[in-house]
Amino acid sequence: MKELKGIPGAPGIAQGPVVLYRKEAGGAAQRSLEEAAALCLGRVRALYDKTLRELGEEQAKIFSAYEMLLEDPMLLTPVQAAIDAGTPAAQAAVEETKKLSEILASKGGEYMRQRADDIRYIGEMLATAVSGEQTSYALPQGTTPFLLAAHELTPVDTMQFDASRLAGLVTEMGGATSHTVILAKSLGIPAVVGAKGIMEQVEEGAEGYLDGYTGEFVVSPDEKTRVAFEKRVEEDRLLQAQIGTVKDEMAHTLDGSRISVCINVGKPQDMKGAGEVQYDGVGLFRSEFLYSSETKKPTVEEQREAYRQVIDAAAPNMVIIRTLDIGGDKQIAYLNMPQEENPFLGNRGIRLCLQNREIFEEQLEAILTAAADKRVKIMLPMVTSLHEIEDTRAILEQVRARLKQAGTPYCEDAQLGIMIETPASAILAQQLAGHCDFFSIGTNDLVQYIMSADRGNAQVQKVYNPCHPAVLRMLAHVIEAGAQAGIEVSVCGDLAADLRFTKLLLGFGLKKFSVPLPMVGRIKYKIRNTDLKDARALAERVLAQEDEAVISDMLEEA
Amino acid sequence: MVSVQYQIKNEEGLHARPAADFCKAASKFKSQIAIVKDGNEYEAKSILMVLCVGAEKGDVIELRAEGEDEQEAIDTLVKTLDMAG
Repeated sequence: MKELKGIPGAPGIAQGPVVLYRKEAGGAAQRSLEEAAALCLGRVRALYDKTLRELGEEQAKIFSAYEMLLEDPMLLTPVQAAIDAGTPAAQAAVEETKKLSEILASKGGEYMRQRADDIRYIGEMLATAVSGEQTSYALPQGTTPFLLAAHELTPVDTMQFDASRLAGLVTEMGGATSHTVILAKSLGIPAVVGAKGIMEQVEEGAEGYLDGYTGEFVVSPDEKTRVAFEKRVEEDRLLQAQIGTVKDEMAHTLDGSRISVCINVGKPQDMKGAGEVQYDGVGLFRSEFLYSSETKKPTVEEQREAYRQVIDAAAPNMVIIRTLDIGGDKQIAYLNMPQEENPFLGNRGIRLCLQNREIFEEQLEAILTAAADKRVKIMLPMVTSLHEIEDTRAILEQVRARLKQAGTPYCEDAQLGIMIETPASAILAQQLAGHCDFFSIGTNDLVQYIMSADRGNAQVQKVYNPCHPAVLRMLAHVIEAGAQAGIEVSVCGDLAADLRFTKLLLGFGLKKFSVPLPMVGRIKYKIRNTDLKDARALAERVLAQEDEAVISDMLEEA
Repeated sequence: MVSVQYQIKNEEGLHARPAADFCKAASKFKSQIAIVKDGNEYEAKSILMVLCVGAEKGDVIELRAEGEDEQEAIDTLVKTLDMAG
C-alpha cells in the first residue's frame, strides 16, 4: 500500500485504476519553431472550442489566453534567437520561457504566478512540438473510469480526455487554485494536487482511491484502508443524493441540538459560491493576504474595503476576522523582522503585532470601521498570556476613542476573542476565558506545538498525530473550559473539517465548526447523522484510551 | 510622440482581462506604443510585456505612442483602461 498526501483540489471521492500520464521522446520528425507554434496554436484553438461547448466561456478563457501568448512575438523571438545561437530547439523553448516565467512570478501575487505557470506550460508544449515528443499513457479497456496521475497536468492535457472516463485527477505539482483544479471543479471531477512522488512510487494500473476533500491518495490499499475508503465513497454518494436538502438546512444533531457550521475565508473572492449554501457566518477570516506585498503595507482603506466585502457577503451572519498572523518565515520589509533561527517559536502573530503598534492599530481601525453597521468579531492569533489580551484591549479602546472623537462610524460591540493554538493558552483556558469573549481552536498549530513536530516535515509526520491522547485531552479541556465560563468555543483548524473527528468533537461538547466552504455540506451531513448521546459515549471511551493507534481505529469506525 | 500619465483605477490592476483587452486594443494601431513604469519601457502590443509591467491599482503609468495614428491610439487606450476600472 502507498499513501500519498497532497492538497485538496476538487471535492469528491474517486476510485479506479491509475493511469500514469508521461511525456516521452517520440519518433515523429522534428519541426521548426514556426511549425511547432502553428501546431500548438491549432491545438489550443481546438481545445478552446471544445471547452466552450462543454463548460462555457468562463473556462474556455484559459485557452484564449494561451492563444494570445502563442501569437506574442515577445515569447517566440527569444526562443528563436537561442535556437539560432545553437541551443537545441526543445531546450531553447523550455529555457527561454522559463526566464519569462520567472520574471512574471517575481512580480508576486497568485495571478502572476498562474500566468508564469501558463508561460511555462506553453514552453513545454512548444518543446514537445519541436522535438516530435509525444505524451504516453495506456487507457484501460472498455469504458472503466480511471484516475489520471501525472507530474503536472496543463489545461491542454486535461481537456483532451473524455470527461466521462476521468474518475479523478492527481498531480505532483499544482496549487489549490491552478487552472487544472478550476477545470476539474467545473467538470465535477475530484482532484488532489501537490502529491509528491506519484510518478516514481505508483504502478501503472494499480487500484487507487483519492479524496478530493482531504488531499489523500492511496494506491493498492490494504484491506482495512480499502474498507474505510469504500465507506467514504458510500457516504459521499449518500451525501450527494441529499446535498440539495443538506445545503439549504441548518445543522442539527439527530437528537435536535443546533450546531453552527461556519466557513474559513482567505480572501474576499472566497465568498463566491457562499450564497448557494446555508452556513452560519465566517468563523475565520485570515487577513494575511492583505500583507502579501513585501514592500508596501496595506492602507486602512484597502483593508476596510476587503473586510467590508466579506462582512457584506456574510451579513446578517457574523464574521470573525483574525488579526495579522505572520512571523519570521516570511520577510516583510516594513515590519521589524530580524532573521530568526526558529520562526515558528519566534516573533509571530500577536507578539509581532504588539511590537508594530502602528500596523496593528491600522488593522483594528479598518476592522471596526468596516463593520460600522454590521457584525464583526476580532480574533488574536498565537496568544500565550493574558497580558496580550489586556494590551490589545487597551489599544482597541484607544482606537475606538479616536474614531468616536473624529465622528467616524464604527462597530461599537465588536467582541475580542483568541485563537487557542499554543499549549500555554490551552492549559490556561479556564483563566483566559475570563479575559476574552470567545475561543477558536486552531488545531494545526496546536497539534504541532503539543507534539513538538513540524507538520511539513515528512520525517516526523507520524509524530504529528491529532489522534494522540495528549492532543485530544487538551481539546476536551479547552471546550469544557469555554462551556463552563459560558463563552463560545469553535474549532477552525483542519480537524474541524476532518469527518473522522466530527462525532468526537460533538461528544466533547463542541457547538461550532468552521471549515472550508466545500466541506460545509459534508460536515452538516455528518452532524445531522450523529446522536449526541452516542457522541458523548465515544468521547468518554476515547479519553480513557492511552494508545493513539487504538484511538485512530476507534475514530475510523465511529 | 504623444504621451500621457495614467493612474490605474481597476481593482485587479493591469492584469487578467484588462491586460488582454489593453493589448488587443493596442495591436489595432500602426504606431509604436509603449507603457513606461519606474523608468522601464514595455511594448504595449505584447501581452507578455503588459503583464510584466505588473501595474497595480493606484500605480501611475505613462503611455507613449509614436506614429501616424498616435493621438487616436492614446485616446483609445485611455478609454480601454477607463472601461476596465
